[in-house]
Amino acid sequence: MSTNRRLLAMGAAVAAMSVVPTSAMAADSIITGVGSSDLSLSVPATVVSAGFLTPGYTTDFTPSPVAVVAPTGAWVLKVKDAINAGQLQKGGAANCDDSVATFAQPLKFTSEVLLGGTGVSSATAVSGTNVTVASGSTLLDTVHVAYKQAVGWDEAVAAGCNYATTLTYTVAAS
Amino acid sequence: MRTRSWLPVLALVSTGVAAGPAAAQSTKGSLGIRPPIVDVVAAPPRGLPQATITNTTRDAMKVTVFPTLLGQSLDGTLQTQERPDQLGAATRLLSVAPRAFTLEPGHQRTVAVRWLGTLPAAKAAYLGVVFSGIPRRAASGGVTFNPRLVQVNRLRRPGPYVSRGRLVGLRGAQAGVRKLRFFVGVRNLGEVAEKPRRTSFVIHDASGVAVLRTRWKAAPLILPGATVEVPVDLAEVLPAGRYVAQALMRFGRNPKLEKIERPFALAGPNLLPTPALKLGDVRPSGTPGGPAHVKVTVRSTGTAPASGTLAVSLLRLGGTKPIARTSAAAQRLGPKRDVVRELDVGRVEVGLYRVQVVLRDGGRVLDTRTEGFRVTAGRSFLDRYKGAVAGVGAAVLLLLLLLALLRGWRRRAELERELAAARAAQGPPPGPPDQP
Repeated sequence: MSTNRRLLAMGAAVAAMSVVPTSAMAADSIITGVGSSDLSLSVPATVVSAGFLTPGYTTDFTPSPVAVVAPTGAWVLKVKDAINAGQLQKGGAANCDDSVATFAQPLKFTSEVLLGGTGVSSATAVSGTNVTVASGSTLLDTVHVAYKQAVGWDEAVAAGCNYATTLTYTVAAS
Repeated sequence: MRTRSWLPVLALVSTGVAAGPAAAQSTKGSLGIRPPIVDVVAAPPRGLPQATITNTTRDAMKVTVFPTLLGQSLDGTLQTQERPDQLGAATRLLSVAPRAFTLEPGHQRTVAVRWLGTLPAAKAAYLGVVFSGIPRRAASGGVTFNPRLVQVNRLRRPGPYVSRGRLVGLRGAQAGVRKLRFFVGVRNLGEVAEKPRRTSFVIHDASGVAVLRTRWKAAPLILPGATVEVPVDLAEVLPAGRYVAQALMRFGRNPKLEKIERPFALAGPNLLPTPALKLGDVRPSGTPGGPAHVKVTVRSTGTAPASGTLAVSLLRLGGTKPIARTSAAAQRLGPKRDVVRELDVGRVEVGLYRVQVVLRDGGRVLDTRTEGFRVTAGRSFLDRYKGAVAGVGAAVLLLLLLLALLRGWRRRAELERELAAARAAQGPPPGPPDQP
């Protein structure tokens, strides 16, 4: 009888383990840093509009590449504009007095990954929350990000008036 | 305790960042961290490997370092959670020092990281350490960039843990012409981050014969409580017909086989009747004192009926916080059909505004659109009165002109009649002289 009880108890234990399996790890602690190199992100040069921002037209910005180095190969690059939510802001120059403070449309981007990751092919708005720009699975890759700004026909912009914002690129390995 | 040596990693500090011709030629250098991922099985509190941050840009960099909780998106990417309460919770689990410093060009600095604990009853903590750099540079027009790097810390207490995952969804999507992609939804119901394993994906035809077998590849590590959709691309082309898709897996250490099945139909070779919605025209307008009126066209661009919800936010031009919001549904819109929704939102006065329209399918954003508009002063009562008077005056003038023309025409007709009568009274006109 006691043998049967022991068998039942063992069976119940095995069944319980199959439902909630436990780690075979001992109490010993293990520290493992993954990767043999840095996770790094290049800091692109400031990009400026290819021409004057003109009412009624969409102006492209000179594209700037972003280089990503990821140790595990898998990475994701995101962008956000924490302060202006993707809205270019008028500079303080005197010739900007008659220009609108900002535009109805936010700054938009498209991206291409040089070595075959996933970019964003349709123009996507920059916002105050992180938006994925690209992801990839190579150790070193370059993302070409192109920006464009649409200016409404009724949005006055004085020639030479500068508009600016600062975007934050975030990269994480996964 | 076993600790992997970090010396070989340290030797790569200066080379890892500058690697790659594209990076060297086109950019201003990099901000780099090491190690980017830390896996630990230990009992907190305890110190973690120091993080090293390196600045190879030409600018001095103001660096702030802070811990965050990590969440996971449906596509498997990790998200830092940065609401104030979430940041507060993260600082109770992980400490970093120093938290702010200036890093000169070509310099590096180490940051001490200490694991303080886990959330109550949790067996593991998944925490990010954000290294946020702000280059010191002269203000200029254009778009400037700040780099941020996230170190991922996967920290687990020693001892047993629950390992359990469930298949919670299976859906197909058209990934291109004759390209099918299925998404297998996996939820981690366990206590630590783990992956699906021994996966398979099978498609049966209407008679129950397996016509396709494959595996899902590259499933990411799934955080406890998170759901991730793992994509499965089909290489074969299936003809039109009815099928059943079946995904199978085991999760983590759990030997239990999990299975999910979903029937589906193909409208053509590898052609799913896929619902898809896009925004068409967005036309905002408004009059002072009234609501903003937004006319939104929703287009069904897929090959199956589609439903979605529209969220409309009204903002001042240049503002970032909505003044007012409203929403509407677009239900069961047939393929290639359009529907127009007219929505009133908030209240506008004279000025410049913009509306943001977001089209969602559940939590998934399908399309977004922002349109600006100007609200101009409406016509006052006096203006309307003057306009009405001017309109009546013009009509009276036109009427008088017509009457004058009519009178002139009648007078001319009378004169012609009188002339004809006079000629008739005088007899016939003399004939031409006789010819010799």
